[in-house]
Amino acid sequence: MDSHEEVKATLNPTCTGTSVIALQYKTGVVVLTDRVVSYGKMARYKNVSRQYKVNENVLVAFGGDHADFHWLQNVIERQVLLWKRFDQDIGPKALHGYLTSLLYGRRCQMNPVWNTLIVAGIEEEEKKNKETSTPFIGIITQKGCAYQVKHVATGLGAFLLNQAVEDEWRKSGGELTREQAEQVLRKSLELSLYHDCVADNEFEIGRVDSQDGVVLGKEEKVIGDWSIAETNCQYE
Amino acid sequence: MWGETFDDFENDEVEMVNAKKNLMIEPAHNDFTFQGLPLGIQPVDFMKTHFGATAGKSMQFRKGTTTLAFVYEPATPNDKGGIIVAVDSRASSGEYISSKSVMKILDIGDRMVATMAGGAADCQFWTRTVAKYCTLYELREKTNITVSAASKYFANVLYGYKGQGLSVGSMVAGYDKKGPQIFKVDSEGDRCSLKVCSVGSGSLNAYGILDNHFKPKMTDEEARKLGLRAIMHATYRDSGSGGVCNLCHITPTEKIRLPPMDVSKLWYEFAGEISRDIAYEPVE
Amino acid sequence: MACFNGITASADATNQMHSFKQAMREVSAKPDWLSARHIERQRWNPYSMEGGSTCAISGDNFAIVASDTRMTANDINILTRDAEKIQVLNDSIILTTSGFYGDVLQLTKVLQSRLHKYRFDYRADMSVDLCAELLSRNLYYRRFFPYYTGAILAGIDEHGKGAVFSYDPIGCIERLGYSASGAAEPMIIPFLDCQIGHVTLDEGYEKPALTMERAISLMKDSFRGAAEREISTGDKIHLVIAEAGKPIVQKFLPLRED
Repeated sequence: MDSHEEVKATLNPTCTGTSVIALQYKTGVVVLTDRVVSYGKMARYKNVSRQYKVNENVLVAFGGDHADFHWLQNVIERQVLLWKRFDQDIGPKALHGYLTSLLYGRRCQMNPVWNTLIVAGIEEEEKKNKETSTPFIGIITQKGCAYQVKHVATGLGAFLLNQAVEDEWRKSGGELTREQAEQVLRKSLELSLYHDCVADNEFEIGRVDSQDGVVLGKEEKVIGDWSIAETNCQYE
Repeated sequence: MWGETFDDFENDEVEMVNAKKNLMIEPAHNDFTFQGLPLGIQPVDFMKTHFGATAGKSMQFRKGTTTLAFVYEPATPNDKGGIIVAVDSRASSGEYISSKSVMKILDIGDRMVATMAGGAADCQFWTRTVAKYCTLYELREKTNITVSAASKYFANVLYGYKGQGLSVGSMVAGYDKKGPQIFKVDSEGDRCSLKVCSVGSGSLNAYGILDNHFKPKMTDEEARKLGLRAIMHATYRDSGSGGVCNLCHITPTEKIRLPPMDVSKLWYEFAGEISRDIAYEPVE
Repeated sequence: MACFNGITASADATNQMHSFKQAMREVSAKPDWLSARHIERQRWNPYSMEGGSTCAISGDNFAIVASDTRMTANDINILTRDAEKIQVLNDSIILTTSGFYGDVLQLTKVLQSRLHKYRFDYRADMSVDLCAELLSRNLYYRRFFPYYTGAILAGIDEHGKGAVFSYDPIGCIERLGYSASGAAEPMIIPFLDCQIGHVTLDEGYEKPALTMERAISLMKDSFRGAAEREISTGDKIHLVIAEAGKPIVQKFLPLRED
């Protein structure tokens, strides 16, 4: 019936993902997402990965509308295949640029892709040369505003966790080991669990390493310390 | 097989044409369209929402003006007569004065000028378009374009964008074969020929002075002073106008641009003339 | 048989016409552009403001450009502390923009590709005056869906003099001695009016000449001042110095991080 409508805009996202936290360490990037997709405040789908492995060097994680991200996965896959035709592997910088243009273009049609994307990966200056490759984290908001960082938290995490992650990052002088980086992520997830009502305690840590390439994480759980609930007098 | 044939040359030529077509973009006439909003969104409402009075201060467009122009005849044989165009130089975005040195008299060819009131960018861009049209016209027709024709083109262009939120109030002034001419053109598509004219937020104040002191026959000195005086009074009473006064005198033979005059210095000058403050203060 | 076909065909046509008229009535009774979806779409704000300020000063044979490197969301939440707001387009042109960062990126991309094409066509770098006009027109081309940016273009012109061009969001262009844009524009400009424009000095007083050293220290001062009093300005000053006949120098200096 609505075939004459030219717009199919996501202006009311239905199933959404919340924070993504990503952090660089010496030789790679770690990305943490929880494994829930919410419908409003309801935890609608559990055990859903919010990370997408593009190729051996690139990982994309999302916050925002889940349907739009599914569509984006198709778009990314096409782009990867396009590069394959010329015997090239798309790098994180190139993908970041491509997605920026895509999201900006959709914004200009007033038909945004309702996602905040984190493109994490290893940028290879020369192919297969581990010495010259550098870790990369790029962020794109739904309006096509893109930037690169060393550490990031999006969604509600942008308010809650950005500073916490940055402090840890600075304490180490920007030279975290992988274990330290993962530790920081686990700690910040716990923080977001306490304050973000749509965050979940089941999460995964994906990682892109110059040695191992993309390693998608396994499902993990954190319970946290809820003893504070007893001293909170707002409920009996 | 035995060497080059005519076909080879032809091929070269075709390749050349293709290379030009693909690699060099030569200036094309009128192939331009604005990138607009997606269907169903009203440009005027959209602008009001995002660039209106509630938008960030630096994100509002520059505007606000007093401009005036009048035609006079020489009073003595020593005077040249012609057109005086006088403007202020303030551009404000909201309450912030984003520039105090805007040149609001823009050239259209070497005999004509257009003044700038309303949206600064609108005026600058479309005056350029008109200037381009005039140049092309003169090259094509090998004759000078009349002020009337130039202003009509301007009005037609603006009429084409009527209702889309352009804001232009311009006076096209110059000498042509019919003598001195001033045409007021605005973004509603209006165009009329006038002898004494003022446009902008301070125009009412300027009209007050002009109507009081204007004479059809004046000396050059008188006429220039009248222009300055009207602009000075307009800047004094209108907060949207200020800065310096730029004045352009178009005589039958040439276009004289006078150096900018600071309006607050003019204030003291004119106050000195009547040996009291300009604002009215009762004696008793 | 043929006759039978004809009848169905005409019956089909009548049906089609009927449903077309029905659809037409529905559409004109409730036009598409008044549908809830479209009204909603008008409400969605395609712009956001990433804050920050930029400033440029030109002198006899130099132009210096500075911006802070903070990027904020809603003026409060710091997204990153080292955003690039200054783009060195070629050896004599520097573009600096504040406002909506998506538009900033797009504008930069457009200008870069136009400059690239100019190099290809004419085998020479574009001069800053040309680029200034180009930028003005490119801003105006988006008159009905403007770039949400305050742009400043600076550089060394063909005569070896410093040049600063200031723009409004839709491409009103003006060549100035100094200019600022962004959140702290209303703070920086009065300071520079006083120090470089000497608007507060009466005639007959000695007015210090604008050397490059003085311009740089004024630039630093204006950003330090702005960082004290403006929330979306801070973190670092990105300073770019262009001097006639010398390569462009870039520096980062610390600012308040609060």
